[in-house]
Amino acid sequence: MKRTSKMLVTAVAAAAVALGSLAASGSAGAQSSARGVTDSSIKVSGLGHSAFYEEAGKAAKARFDLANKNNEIPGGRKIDYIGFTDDKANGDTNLAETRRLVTEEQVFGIVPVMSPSFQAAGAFVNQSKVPTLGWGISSAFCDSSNKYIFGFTGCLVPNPPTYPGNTWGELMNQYFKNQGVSSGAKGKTTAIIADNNDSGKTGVEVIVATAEAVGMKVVYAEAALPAPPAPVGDFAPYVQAIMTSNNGKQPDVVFLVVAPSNVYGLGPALTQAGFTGVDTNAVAYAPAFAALTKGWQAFTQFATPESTSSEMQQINQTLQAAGIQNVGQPGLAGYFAADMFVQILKKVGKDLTPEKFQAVAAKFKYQIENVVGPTYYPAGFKAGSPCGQLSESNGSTYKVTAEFGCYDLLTEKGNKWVTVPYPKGVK
Amino acid sequence: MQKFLNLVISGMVTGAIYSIMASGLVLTYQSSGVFNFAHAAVAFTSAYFYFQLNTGQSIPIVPSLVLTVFVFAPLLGLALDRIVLGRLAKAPMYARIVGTIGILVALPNLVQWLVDAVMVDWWGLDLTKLSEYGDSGGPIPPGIGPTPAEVYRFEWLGLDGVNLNSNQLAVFIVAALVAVLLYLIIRRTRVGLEMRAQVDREALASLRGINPRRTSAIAWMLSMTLAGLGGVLIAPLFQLNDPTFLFVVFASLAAVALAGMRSIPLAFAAGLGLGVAQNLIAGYRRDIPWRFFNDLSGLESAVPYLILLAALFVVGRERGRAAGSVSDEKPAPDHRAGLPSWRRKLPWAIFTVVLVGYTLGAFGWPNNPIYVRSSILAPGLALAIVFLSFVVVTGIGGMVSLAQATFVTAGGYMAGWALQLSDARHPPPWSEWSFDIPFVVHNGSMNFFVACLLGALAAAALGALVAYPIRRMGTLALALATFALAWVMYFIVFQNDGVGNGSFGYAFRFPTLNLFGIETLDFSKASTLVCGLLLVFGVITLLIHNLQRSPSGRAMFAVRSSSVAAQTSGVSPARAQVALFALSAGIAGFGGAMYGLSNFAVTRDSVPPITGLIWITVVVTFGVRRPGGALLAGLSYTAAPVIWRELASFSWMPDFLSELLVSTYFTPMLFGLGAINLAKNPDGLLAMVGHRGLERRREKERKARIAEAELGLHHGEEVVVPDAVPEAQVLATVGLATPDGTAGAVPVILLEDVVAGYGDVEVLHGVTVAVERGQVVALLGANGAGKSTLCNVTAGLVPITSGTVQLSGVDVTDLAPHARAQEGLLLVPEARGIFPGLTVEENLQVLLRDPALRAKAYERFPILGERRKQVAGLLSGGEQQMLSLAPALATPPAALVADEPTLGLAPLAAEVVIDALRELRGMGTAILLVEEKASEVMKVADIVAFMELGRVVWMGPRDEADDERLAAAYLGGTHRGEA
Repeated sequence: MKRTSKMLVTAVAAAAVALGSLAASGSAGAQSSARGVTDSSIKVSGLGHSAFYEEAGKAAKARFDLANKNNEIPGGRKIDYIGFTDDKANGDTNLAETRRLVTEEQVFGIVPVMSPSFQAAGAFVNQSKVPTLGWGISSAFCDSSNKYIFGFTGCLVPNPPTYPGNTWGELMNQYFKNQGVSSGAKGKTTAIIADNNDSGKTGVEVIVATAEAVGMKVVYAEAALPAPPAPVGDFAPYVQAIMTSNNGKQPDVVFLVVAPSNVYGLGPALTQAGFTGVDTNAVAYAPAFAALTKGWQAFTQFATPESTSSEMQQINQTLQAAGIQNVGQPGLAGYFAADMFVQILKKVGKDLTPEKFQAVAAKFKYQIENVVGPTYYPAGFKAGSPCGQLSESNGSTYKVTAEFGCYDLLTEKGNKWVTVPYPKGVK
Repeated sequence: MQKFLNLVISGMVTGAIYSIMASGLVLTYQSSGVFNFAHAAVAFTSAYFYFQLNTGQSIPIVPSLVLTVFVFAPLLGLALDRIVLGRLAKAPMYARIVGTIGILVALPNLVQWLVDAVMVDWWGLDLTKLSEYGDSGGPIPPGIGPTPAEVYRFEWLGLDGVNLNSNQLAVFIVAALVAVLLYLIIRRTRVGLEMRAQVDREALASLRGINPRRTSAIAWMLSMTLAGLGGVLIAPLFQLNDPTFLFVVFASLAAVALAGMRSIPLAFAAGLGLGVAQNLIAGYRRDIPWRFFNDLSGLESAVPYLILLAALFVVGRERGRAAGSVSDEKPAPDHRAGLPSWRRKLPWAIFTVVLVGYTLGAFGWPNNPIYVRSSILAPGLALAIVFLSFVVVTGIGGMVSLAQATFVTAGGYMAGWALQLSDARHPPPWSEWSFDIPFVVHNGSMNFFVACLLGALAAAALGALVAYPIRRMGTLALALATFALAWVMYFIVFQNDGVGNGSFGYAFRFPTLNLFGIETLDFSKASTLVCGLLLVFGVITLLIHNLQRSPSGRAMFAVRSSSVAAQTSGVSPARAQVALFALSAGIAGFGGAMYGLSNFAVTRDSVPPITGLIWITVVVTFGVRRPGGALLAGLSYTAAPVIWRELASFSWMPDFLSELLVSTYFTPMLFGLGAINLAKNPDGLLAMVGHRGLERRREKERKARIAEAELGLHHGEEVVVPDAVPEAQVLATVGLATPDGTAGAVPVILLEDVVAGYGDVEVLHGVTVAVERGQVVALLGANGAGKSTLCNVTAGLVPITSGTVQLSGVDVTDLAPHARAQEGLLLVPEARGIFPGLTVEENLQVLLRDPALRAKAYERFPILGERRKQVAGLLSGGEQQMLSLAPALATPPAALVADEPTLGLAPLAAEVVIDALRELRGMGTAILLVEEKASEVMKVADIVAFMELGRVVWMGPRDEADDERLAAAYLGGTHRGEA
C-alpha cells in the first residue's frame, strides 16, 4: 500500500540518518571546564518559583552586591548575578530552565535554588558539574549521587530520614522553661498529627522521638490528615480525635507536622473546638497570616528578623539598604545561600573550577553565628542541620519565644530512636 | 454517639457545598446537554472577583457578595453561553466534553493573567496578585457572616462538642435556601416549565414558541449563579487558589452521578450524604480492625472518586433510545477530501526532513541547538508519542479518556522499575537483576527497549482492566469514570511506597545501543535521542494508520456512527471499545517511558491527572484525528514558553507585551481557548488552514451531484419531470386570485417557489402552496415526494435554499421555529406533538397560560381532565393526539400544519382527530394537512394537492381529485402528455 510505504520510507530514512549521526554530531556536550568564569567575573543565576521566592533572589543579589563592593571574592572577581529564573513551580520547566542556564547562559553556578520542583534537574547539574546552592527543600539535595548540590541547612527532605534533628523537642523544652515552667517540657502530654503520605508517616515517628527525648508524653501520633493537593473538607474528625486523646481530655501540646493548607485549616478548627494548649507547627511564621496564627509557636530552621543578635541585625541592615524592608523566610534563605557561596569561593581561592569548588564545598562548614547553622558537609548530603528557633505572633508582629540553638541528631537503633552528635554521628 | 452526631452535622456543611455545586451541574446538563466541567473554574473566578472587591478594594462584604453572585456570575454565565455554547450545543458529545475542559483550563488562567499581567503590571492598577501569598497557599477571604467568624456551640440542643462557626452556618442556611428556591423556580414558574419542556423534546419546544437559546441562556445564568454562590461560600473555608476549588467541585461529581445526572433534589441529597460519608470514614477508619485499610494513604481524598465510580456503574449505562437515530455522529468533513495521496503526505514529509536536518546540525538557528534539541525537541517528541494515544482513543474511538496521564505514569513506573536504576533510596546492588536472558537481561540490567515495552504492556493491561467494566457506558459516563479512576490511582495506588518508590519515583538514564559489542548509538547525545524518538513516533504512526484501515478500525468507525447498526451487522461495540482503549493506554505507557527518558525520571507528580486535562486541550487545538496533530501538539507544548520568552526579549517588543507573553498563565490560557474553539473540529488548527480550499472544491462538485442524485432515484430511467403548478393557478385554486391573476386577500399560509433540502440533496425544487382562512389543503403523494419536508420547512425546522414562506402576509422565511410559533403557526409533527416527560396539565400550560383556557380544553376532551396529573408519555396514542390538538381548539391558531395526524391511530381515535380538524376549520384556522390515508383526507379536505419529486404537480378542489389521479400520485412516475 502506497501510504504505508511512504511512512515506512520516512521512518527508515530517519533511522539511517540517525545512525550516521555519530559522525555528524561531533562533540555535542563538550564544555570548557571554566564555564561561567572569566578573569573578572563569575556568572550565576537564581532558580525557583518566582511568585513565591522572588524575595530570595533580591536578598541573594544584595549579598552578592555586598561581596562585590567589599572585594570579598579572591582574584578580584565580581559576581555577575543575572537574575532569578522562574520555574513556575513545575518540574518540567525547572529542568528546561536549568538546561538553558547551563548550556545557553553558561553560568558557573546556580545560586540560590529555591524550589521544591528541583529534582530531575539535579541529575543534570551533577552531570554537567554545575555548583548549585540553595534551600534543601527538594530531594535533589539529598541524593548522595548528586555531588554538586548544597543546602545551607543541608538536606531537609531525606527519604527515608535516617538522621532527623532532635530540634523541635528541645525547642519546646526551652519554650516551657522560658514560660516559667522549671521542668520544661517533661511530662507534658502531646498529640502529633501529620499528613497522610510517606513523609508524614516518617515525620510522626521523628517527632515522637524528639518529643519523648525531652520527656513529653505522647498521647496521639497519627499521619491522619489527607495530604495536599486534595483539600480537607472538614477537620471535625481530626479535631475530635485530638481533643479526646488525653484520656478524653485535650493534650497540652499539639504538633502539626502538616502542609500549610492543613495548618491554616486544622489550627483554627482546634481553637474553635476550645483547644487551649500550645499549637506548634513549622508554617506559622508567615507575616501575611500573623492575625490567623496568633499564639502559635512557629518553628523556623534559622533565626528570624526579630532575633536580637548582632549578626541578625547586620543582615537586616544589609537587606534594608537593598530595599527589602520586612524580609521573610524566603528572603533570608536566599541570603544564606548566597552567603554560603561567597564563603566557599573565598576558601577556594583564585584558581576556580567546578571541580575545585566541589572539593572545598564537600568538606565545608557553613555558619552565621546565632543565625544559621553550623551546617557541615559531607554530613549535609544526608541530614539537615539540627538547629532552630520558635517564635510567636501577637496578631501583628512576631517575637522569639525559644532562642536559636543547635542540638543533636536522632537515628534508629533497632526499633528505637537514639540521639547522636552532629555531624560526627552521620555515617 | 456524640462523636457520630458531631461528624454527621459538620459533615453536612461540606456536604451542603457539594449539594450546591452538584445542583448547578445537573441544571446545565439537563437544560443544554452540556456537562459543564468548568463549573469549578467559574466558582474560583467568582471567589477571586469577590476577593478583589472585598479584600483588595475594601468594599464591604454584603455589596461585594451581591455584586459577585447576582451580577458577575450570571454575566459570566451569559458570556459563556453566548460564546461557547453556541458552538458546542450541536456538537458530538466528545466535543462538548473537551470544550468545557477547555473552559476549565482557560478561565482561571485568563482571569489571573488579566489581573496580574494586564491590570497590575501594564495598567498599573492597584489590585492584589494571588502570588503575593507565597507558598502559604493563598488568602482566606472573609465569609458572609461576621468577621472574624463567630463560633456557635450547641450544648443547649444536647449536642455537646458540636461547634460551627458563622461561615459554616452560613453554608447551611444558604444551601437550604437554594434548595427551596430551585424547587420553586423549576417546578412552579414559567421559566422552569420552559426549561423542562426543552429538556424533554427540544425541537418540539421550539415549535411551541419556546426560544431554545433564551432558555438555555437562563439555565446557564442560573447555574453559574449557583457556582458563584458556591465559590463565595467555599472561599472562607479553604484557601483561595485554583487547585483547591477544582478539588472541592470535582468531589461533588459523585453527587451528580448519584443523582443519575438528572434529578436536582437527588443531587442535593446526595451531596449532603457525600459530606457525611467522608467524615464518617475519616472518623471511624482507624477503628476498623483491618491493618491494610487503616494504613491506606490517601483513602479520604479518594472517597468521592470511589463513590463516583460506583455510581457510574449503576447509572452510566446508555439508556437512551438506541434505535431511532439515523446517525449518532456524522464525521466532520475532512478538509483534505479529494486531494491525491501524495499531496496529503508532502507537507509532513517536508516537515520531517527539516526536523531531522535541524537535529543533525544542518543549519544552526536559533543560537543554541543543543538546548533546543534536549529541552524542546526531545521532550516535545516524547509528549507527541503520548499524544498519539489521544489520536487513538479520541480521534478514532470517539471516547474521551481523562486517565491518559495515569497510563503514562503507570508505563513510566513499570519501565523505570524494570530498569532498576539505583538512586539514593536504592543504592547498588539493589538495582540488579539476578538472571540473564539473551537480548533482554544482561549483566544485571535490562535492555532499555524491552523495559519500555514492558511499560507499554503494563499500561495496556491496566487500560483493558479499566475499559472492560466501563465498556457499556455512554461517552460522558466513560469520561467521568476515567476521571474518577485517574484520581483513585493517584491518591491510593501511586502513593503507595512499593508502587511509586516514594517521592523519588523511578530514574531513567540514557541508554546506549551496542551492536556486536561496539557502541553504536549513544542516546545521551541530544541529536541521537531526537532521531530515536522521531523513529518511534513514525513506527507508532504506521501502526495507527494500519489500524484505521484494518477491520477493527472500521468496526470502530461503524460503532461511532451508529452503534445499533453496528450491532446488527455483527460488530461488537464493546469489544472494539475495549481493544481500542487498551491500545491507547499501551501507547500512553510507552510514551511514559519516553517521557522518563527525556526528563530523567517519572514520579507521582510528574504527570498528575490535572495534566491529563491540559493535554487534551493541547491535542484538540492541533487536531485529534491525525498523528500530525499529535506531533505539532507535543512540539508546541514544549516550545511555546520558549518562543514567548524569545519574543519578549526582542528589543523592539514593548515592555507590557513582554509581560503579557511571559506570564505563567499565558500558555495554558491559549490552549484552553484553542480547545473551546476547536473542540468541534477533529482536525483542530490544521483544519482552519485547509478549510477554504475545501469550500471551493465542494462548490464545484455541488451542481453536478444534485442532478445525479435525483436521476438515480429512478434507476436511470428516462423521466419527464412534470412541470410545477404555476403560482397564479395555485392562488386561483385556493380562491384568492383577482381577475388580473395576482393575489387579492392575503393567504394565511403562503409558500412561494420554495427550494430546500438536506445537505447536498435537494428535496423541494420550487414548491408553491397557499392556504386561505378556514380552509383545509391536503397534500398527497408517494413516499419521498417531499411532504414532510414541506411541513418542516413551513415550521422552520428545515432551512430554505431559496423562496419565501409567509404567514398572513408576514415574511417569516428567516425566522426560527419559535418565532414562527409566536406568529401564530402550530405544527403538529409526525410523532405526536406532546412532551412525554411532562404531565398533561403541564403540556397544556406550555401553550395555554390562562387557566380558563385550560379549563376549556378539559371541557372539550374530558378524558384529558381525568388524567390531568399523569405523565403524558403514558397516555394512549389517541389521547396523546387529543392532547396535542387540545390547545389549538382552546385558542385556534391562525395556521395549523398537521403531518400525518392519524398515523398509528385506531379508527375511532382517527375520527376524533378528523372531527377536531373540522372544528378548527370552522373556527377559521388555515390548515395544511399531510395524510397517508387518502380516505380520511377526502372527508375533510377542501383543496387537494399532489406532490411528486419535490414539486406540486396538481392542485384542485376535492371533487376534482378522481381515483385515477390519486393512483398516479401514490404510485408515482409518469405524467406523459398530461396537461
